[in-house]
Amino acid sequence: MPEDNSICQDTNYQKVFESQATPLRNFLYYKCGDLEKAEDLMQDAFIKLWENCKKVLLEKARSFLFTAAKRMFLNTIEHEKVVLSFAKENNSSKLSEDPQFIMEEQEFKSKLEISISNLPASQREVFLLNRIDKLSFQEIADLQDVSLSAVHKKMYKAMDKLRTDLDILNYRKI
Amino acid sequence: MEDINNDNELLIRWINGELSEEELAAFQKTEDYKIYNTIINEVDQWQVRPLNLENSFDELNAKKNKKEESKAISWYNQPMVRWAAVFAFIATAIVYFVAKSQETTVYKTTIGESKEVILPDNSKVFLRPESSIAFKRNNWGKQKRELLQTGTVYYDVKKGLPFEVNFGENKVDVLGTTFEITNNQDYTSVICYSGRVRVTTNNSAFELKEKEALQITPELYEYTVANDWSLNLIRFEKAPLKSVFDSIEKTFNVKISANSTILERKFTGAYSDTSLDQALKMICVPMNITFKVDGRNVTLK
Repeated sequence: MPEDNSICQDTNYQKVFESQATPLRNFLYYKCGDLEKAEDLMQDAFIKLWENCKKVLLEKARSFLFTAAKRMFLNTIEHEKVVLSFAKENNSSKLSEDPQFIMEEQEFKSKLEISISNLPASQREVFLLNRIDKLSFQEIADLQDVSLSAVHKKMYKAMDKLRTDLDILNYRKI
Repeated sequence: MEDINNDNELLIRWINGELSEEELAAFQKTEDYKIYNTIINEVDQWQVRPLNLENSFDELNAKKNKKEESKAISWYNQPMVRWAAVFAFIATAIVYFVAKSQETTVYKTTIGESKEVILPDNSKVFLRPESSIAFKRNNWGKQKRELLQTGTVYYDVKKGLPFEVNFGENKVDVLGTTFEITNNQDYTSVICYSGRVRVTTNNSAFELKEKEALQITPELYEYTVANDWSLNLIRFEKAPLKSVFDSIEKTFNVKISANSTILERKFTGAYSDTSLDQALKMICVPMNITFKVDGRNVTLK
């Protein structure tokens, strides 16, 4: 029965939320650097999905959501600077308990976060979607609506910039 | 030119895990490999602050229902009802606007909670645990941007009208900078991370430039910092251990007991808010103090 797969059905809508809410929120977070704003926009995209639930097929829900979110994001005020920060899974297997080492690790993380935040928006997106959300480059190409080679280019440009940034910092220390 | 293209292609293939054993071995010998590997290893451990799906879904439903309700009031469009509504509206509006002009907006965090807030002018503030900011929404941005704070708050202020923060009997004036103010019972300080900040205390005024800082309590003196602001590191400069441990209590929701000789000692350094154990080590090891954690209680010697 075609009705079983309708997004207008509460259980289906909820299932879509459970699988897409976090990836969508992360995607928006990389764009704006604001967790609350990202969650807000994510929820608005889901409302749009609900309003159009009769017209959108279950399999197309994800691309509908991301497209709607992108459009809504373009309509918001952007801050000059995006500042991203991330949580780190705690390594209980850490052998070194030296406070100096812990501090250096923390400093490195902060510097890397800043470098990543300073990347041009679409390079930053590619890098984070690949490393943190584990998307393949092809999936990212579909999401950004560009070619696979364009995505590759953004990735190595991003990696190159990060390497250069951290390289400079290392020499400065000496 | 061709070399660069090959290098770039190699990098992508390495990331995808597509290199042959020989290619990998050759790559690992290069200078750049070390840095690329360090970056990837680090970032692969990161995640964005987890989303609480249940709460978010509940919020989503609330928003959805609100939207659906506002569409259903078509019967208000009847002419008679409309006029009655208009008069009622004007009356309440007057009361509402009078009340609203006194309205104070408050943001605060509890023990163990941190929060990032965007102000009406798009400046950003980050509240550490047990901190708060308050401002009059109606006055904001008329001639200046003014607010009050307690606890420890980091500011990223957009250039614009004069921006003033009041804390205790002190205040800070800025124009487009980043800085952090700590205002607790026994430890008050201002650290300027970029731009310029003007601090006014009881008797004197100081102008801080990038990486300059001022401690106000317990002792008034200026110093400099070497590092950028960090989300996860809470720093102190010659702070009484009592305030350092107060801060740890607020961050992790624990109770710390120690004798007064320990509490009076001064500490310069930082602790990480990622785990209680790490935090205690970072403070106690350099100070030669031993600690014991028992559930929510910590004892120091």
